Order: sequence, then C-alpha cells, then structure tokens
Amino acid sequence: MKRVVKVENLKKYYVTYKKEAGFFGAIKSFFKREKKIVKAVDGISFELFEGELVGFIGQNGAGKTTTLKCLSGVLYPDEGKIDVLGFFPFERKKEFLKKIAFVMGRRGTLYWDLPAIDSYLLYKEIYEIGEDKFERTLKELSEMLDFDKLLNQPLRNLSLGERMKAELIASLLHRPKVLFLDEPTIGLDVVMQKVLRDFIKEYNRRYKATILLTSHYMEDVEVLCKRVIVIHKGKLYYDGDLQTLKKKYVRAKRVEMVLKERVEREKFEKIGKVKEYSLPRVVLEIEREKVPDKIKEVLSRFRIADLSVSEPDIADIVRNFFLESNESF
Amino acid sequence: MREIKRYLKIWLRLSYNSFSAMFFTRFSAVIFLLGKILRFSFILIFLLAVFSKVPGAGGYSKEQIIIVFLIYSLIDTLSQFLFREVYRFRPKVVFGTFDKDLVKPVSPLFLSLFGGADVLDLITVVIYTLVFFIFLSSLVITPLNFSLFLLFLINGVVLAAAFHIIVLSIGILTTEVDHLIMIYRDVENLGRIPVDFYDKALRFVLTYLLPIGIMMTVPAKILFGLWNVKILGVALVVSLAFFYASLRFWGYALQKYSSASS
Amino acid sequence: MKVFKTLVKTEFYTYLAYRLNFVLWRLRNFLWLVFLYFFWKAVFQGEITLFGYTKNEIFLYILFAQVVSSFVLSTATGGIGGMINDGTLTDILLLPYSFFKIMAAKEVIDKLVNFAFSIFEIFLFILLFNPEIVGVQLTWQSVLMFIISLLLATTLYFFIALNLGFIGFWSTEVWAPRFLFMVVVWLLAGNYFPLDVLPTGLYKALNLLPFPYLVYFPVKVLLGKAEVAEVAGGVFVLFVWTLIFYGFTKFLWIKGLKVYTAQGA
Repeated sequence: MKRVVKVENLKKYYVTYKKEAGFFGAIKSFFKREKKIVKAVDGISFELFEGELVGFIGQNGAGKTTTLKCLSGVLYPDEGKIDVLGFFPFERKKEFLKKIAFVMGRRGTLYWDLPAIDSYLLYKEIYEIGEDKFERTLKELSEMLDFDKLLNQPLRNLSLGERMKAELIASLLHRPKVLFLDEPTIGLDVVMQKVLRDFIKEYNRRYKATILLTSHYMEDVEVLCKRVIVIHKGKLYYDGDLQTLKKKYVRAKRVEMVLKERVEREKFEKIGKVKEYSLPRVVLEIEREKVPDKIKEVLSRFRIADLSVSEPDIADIVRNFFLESNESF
Repeated sequence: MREIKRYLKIWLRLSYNSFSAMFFTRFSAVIFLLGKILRFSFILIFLLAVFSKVPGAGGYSKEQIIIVFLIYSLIDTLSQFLFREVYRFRPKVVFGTFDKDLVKPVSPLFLSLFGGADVLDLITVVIYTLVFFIFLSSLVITPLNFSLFLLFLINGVVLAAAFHIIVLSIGILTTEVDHLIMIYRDVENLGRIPVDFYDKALRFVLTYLLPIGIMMTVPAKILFGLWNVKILGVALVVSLAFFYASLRFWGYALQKYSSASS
Repeated sequence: MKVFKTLVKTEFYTYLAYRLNFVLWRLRNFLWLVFLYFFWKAVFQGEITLFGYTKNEIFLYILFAQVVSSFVLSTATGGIGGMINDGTLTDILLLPYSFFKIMAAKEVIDKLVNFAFSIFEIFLFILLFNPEIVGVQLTWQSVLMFIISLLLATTLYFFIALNLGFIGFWSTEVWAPRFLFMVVVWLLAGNYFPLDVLPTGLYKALNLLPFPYLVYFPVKVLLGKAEVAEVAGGVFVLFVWTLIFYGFTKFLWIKGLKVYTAQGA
C-alpha cells in the first residue's frame, strides 16, 4: 500500500499568557504577563496509507485539532517531520493544497446570503477545476448527500445539517486525495449524523481517499474506522486496530433488558452495576467473563420481555484507557 | 501570465458573489451610499462656503484645495471598493475561518485584501470622478502633469493597499482591537487637506512614516505643476519601501499565526 | 443608589476590559482635532476675523466642540438594536429596574469617561501644538447658560439615540440607519466648524432641525457669541425638542415592546 502521510516526532508548543482577575489583576497583567507553555502536541509519530479511514480520538485539548492543522499546513510544527503526499504541508504549495481538504464542523465558510452554487463556482476557479469535472463531481456529491434540490437555496434558509452538507461538498469539489475532518458531525441530530457518516464512508470507498477524522461522537469512529489513534495531552497512546483496543479495555458489557414485571432496583444491584433504571427498561454493566452466568440468573429470577448484550461505547473505553494510563504514567 | 488570468477570474467571481450578497441587504446598502454622498456633498459645500470669503489657504488656491479634497475622496473610495474585505477580517480570525483560507491553493493575502470588492463604491467612484473633472476644468493642466498625476494616483492606491495590509497583519497578531481599520481611516483623513498645512514634525510623519502625504498630496501637487524630479524620486522610493515593508509585515504576522494560534 | 453604584462599577470594568479599544477610540477623536486645527490655522493665515470669528475664537470653538461632543454625543445605547434582534433585551427586561433607568446609568458612565478623556486630550493638544487661544473672556452668565444647554442637549441626544436603537423592533438592519445618522449628526451638529460659516439659507434651514442644538449651540453660548434673545430662544427650542423626542421615545418603546413580546422573544 502506498504511504500517504508520515509524521515523525511532531511537536507543537504554544505560549499563552495568564490573565488575572479584578481591577489590580488587569493592571498588573497589562505590564507583566505570566508566561505559560502549553505542549499541544508533544512528539507523536504515525503513518497513514492510501484509502485508510482512521479515527483520531482523545479528550478535549488532547492535541487533535493542532495535529490536523499541522498536517494541512495551517500551523508550522516546532519540531519533527511531516510528509503529506510527498510535500511538507507548511510550504503551502499549490499542488499540495489542491490535493487535500480540511473540513471543520461548525465553521461556516460559504456565503451566508447566497445559494451554495455561487460559492461552488468560486471554488471552481480557486481550485482550477475543469468544466466537465466540476459538473460531474458536483452532481455526484450532491446526489450522494441528497443536496441537489438545495443547491439554489440561500444558505441562511438551510438547517444546520444541510449547511454542513454544503460545506462538505465545497471542500470535496476538487476531489482531494487526503481529507482531514475535524468534528464533521458536531451539533447535528442523530439522523443527519448518520447521513454524513454514510457519505464519508462512501467518499472514502469511491475515491480511495485517505481520511483522518476526529469526532466527539464515538459512533462516528466506531462505524467508520477500523484503525484508531488515541492521543492524550499531546502524546500518542495507542495506534492500531479499534477492536483490539476494545478487547483490551472493555472489561464489561452492557446488558439491556425490558421487564415484564416490577423488580426493585436493589435486586439488580446485586447482579451488576445499574447504569439505567427506568422501568420497564433496565441497563446493567456486567464484567465480561461473568456475562453468561449473570444472564442465566436474570432469566431464571425475573420475567423478561427482551434482552440484549452489547459493547460499551468508545467514550467509556477511552475513559478506561486513560484512567489506566494515568496510573501507569 | 496564466496565474494573473487565474487570479483575475477568481477576483471576478469573488466580486460577483459579494455583489449578489449585497442584494440581500440592499436597504442597508442604499443607506450607506446615501450617507457617503451626503457627507461628500456637505463637505464640498462647506469648502465652497469658507473659500467664498478667503481666496485660499496655506499657499493653495480655493480650486486647488478642493482638488486635493477630491483626490482624497477618489483614493479613499477606490480603496474602499477594492479592499472592503479588510473590514470583515477580524471575525474571520476570531472565529477561525481564516484557517480555511490558509488551506486554499490561493494567496491568503489576496483573499483577505480583495475578497469582497464593494461594487456599490463604484457608484461613488463615478460621482467623485465627475465632480473632479468639473473642478479640474477651471485649472490649466499640461498633458505631462496629467499623465504623471495618473501614475501617482495609482501609486496612492498602492500605498492604500499597503496600509490595508498592515491593518490585516495587526489583525492577525492581536484580536484585541476591533476597529483598527477605522483608525487608519482617521489617519488617512489627515490627507483631506494638503500635508503642507501641518507643522514640521507632523509633516515628517505623514511623509516618511505614514506616507499619507505621498498618497494624497503629491498627486495633487503634480497636477498643479508643483513638482520636481527630487520630489517624485523621494515619493517613489518611500512608496516602494512602505509597500515592501507592509508585505514583510504580513509575512511576519502569518508566521506568528502559524506558530502560535491554537 | 446602591443599584446605580453596582451598575457604575460593572460598566467601569467593561471599559477596563476593552481599554485598548477605548484608548484607540479616543485617539480617533484626537486625530480629528489635529486635522481641524491645522485646517483652520491655514485658513486664517493673514486674516484677523472670518465669518465673525477671530482666529483665537475658532481655535477655542473646535476645542470646546470636542469636549462638548465627547459629552453630548457619546452614548452607550449603540447596542440596543442588536440586543432587540438577538433577544438579549429580555435579560434586561427581567431585571427589577426600569429599562430607561438602566440605560441612563450606563449613559452617564459612558459620558463621564469620554468627557474625562477629552479634557485630558485638550491639555495634551495645547501642550503639543500650543494654539493661540488667549484673549477670549468667559463670563459666569455664559457658563451658566452653557451648562443648562449642555444638560438639555445631552438629554435630547439620549432620547434620539434610544429611538435609533428601537429600529431593531422592526428591522434587523440596524447598523445602516445608525451609520447614516452618525454621518448626519457629526456634520450638522457643528463638531467640525461653527455652523454659521455656511451659506445663510442653509444655516437657517439647519436651525429647524434638532442637530445644531447638540454641539454648536452650547459652544456658541459658552463663547459668548450669542445674543441674550438668541440664547433664551435656543434654550426654549432645545427644551421643546427634548420634550418631543421624550414623547416619541415612550411611544416607540410601548409599540416596539408589543412587537417584541408578540414574537415571543
């Protein structure tokens, strides 16, 4: 497989200034400001290969967005090597920028008062997209996203989700080979999240595009990415298969049931950790190895209408992961 | 050459879009236009009234002073037409959409400076030009002086571009100031009258440090034949240096941005 | 009174937070003063009196006009239109004090801060440029009438500015009307030059509008350039304008609130 992105020992530090509260604080900080160095990215390395769709996960302030900005050439790395498609992103070469896209959720960049098509025509000139290719790509993308009927509507009349679709199309008109998606589904409702998720998957498949994606919604990552990179406080903690990560850090499963009769909460607490108790629905967390025995017990003791076992979501996994790594680091 | 054609196409599309967008707020647009024309007419009336009682001021005749004011108005409105996007730059930095401009295969300076031409100002350009020629007809102008004047009028717009680039650069370095462009406008306003009216220290500042004098007064002086090769030479050298410095400053600001923003 | 003190305090902190912006805003005013001074200086070359003003009187005029406009024309009401549009007006309406009292308190702070700065600027200006301003006598009568007209002008402008903000009840395009209004006020109030410099017909027409009473009239009174009858008449007109705009403000406020609450904001 062709290597598309190579990051080696990337470091990015910021200097921020402390602000002090109150009148005297304001005057004091006017003259003398206290420096504070934030290690946003602190020596991470990884590679991406053509056609990969990789989830980039970590808590807020972990350094995800900073890394994406370094990869797309917005930020200059303090240390380390970055190679994207054979370019050093910060040189911002035209040939490089024409092959990548950086999508940021919740940051509208299209004309607010105009229909999306007017913005697209501008992108056509900026990216020097030929007439044919432009027509074809626009048609394909807007059909995939079911946006064709909205092309001539001023953006201000569209919903948040529809505007995100418009932004995505704008970023993909030049058919970038490498995509950096920063929280593409943020703020959207469940249905729209799914639509965008399916679209990202389809784009990845159809154009063999390499995609690095960050998201608050673990479902995004779970559905889209086989491989994940976990970072925390600027350091890389895990890079590999999502399922392996799950196996390692999932010590419990979710057992969800619908009851036919009323059962006191205490009775469940003897079986497992009660995550939710809203009759007739009860959700328990039960340690992996004990699941079969516990289910047997439940079924024999209570009258159950429905029962299902599932993995916990990645949010929990990552939390476990960091709880553990905090102890060991 | 191909690049120039490409940028021209991009500019036309940008301007077309900002013109269409303006239609959405055409009520505001018309009021802004009205305000500008009102201000212009009122100042003109004021100048005519003052100089109906005195023949001139500071060694300039009534017509010359009015011509200086008209040249100021022309350069000011031309730069508002061309560089209107500068007025919208701060929100772009504050809300982070400037990042999106940085990943486009086109100069971010070009987008930030020329990204939203205010087509409405073309109307004022036409009006001011007409009034300019009306007052010009009362003076005797040689073809040489007029050609040189045109050259230095363009030079004035280039200097205005440099000022706008500096405003953009400061806008990147700090988001604390929200009306920097208006401060520029007030400095520029000093050019409504010939800079010879100011005292020595101020004149020095307005010639060499913030070359409003070269931007506004020099083209007028050329028109009146009040020039020599030395004046033109100094004006060109200062303009070039100022423009170059503004570009360097932008480069510096961009570098700071890319190494410090979060 | 305690409420007022709290308001004053929070307002003052706001100015501190935006101190750089505020200092630069004052710098803009200062630049205009420099511009006007050198313009008039050039015009007065060789002349003793023009339009009934001596050189010294004109210099004093623009200095006083600067201070007066810093007091009369500074306003904290600029955000009202936006507050109506984005619904944050509701937060103020829910406070247990009248909207007008809150605005008035904010207005007073704004005016005092601007006024203090303008005094400082005038001294700085005199220090830097040493304009010829001696030889103009101020009498206690003119100072008294000046203070009366200044207070009336301030009240009048407060009501005008409120009305401008109330446009927000009916339209989202609140900035353009404000821009046009600012252009008109700054030109016609007499910030830049005594209005009687203008052609007589235009000057007389302007006097039918409220604008000349905001800056030009108080400064003229202070300089002792107005006859007794003129002063009395002017104060009366100012009073009438203030009443008219007071009524107008109340009317628009009630009408506007109906629109506002009907929209369920």
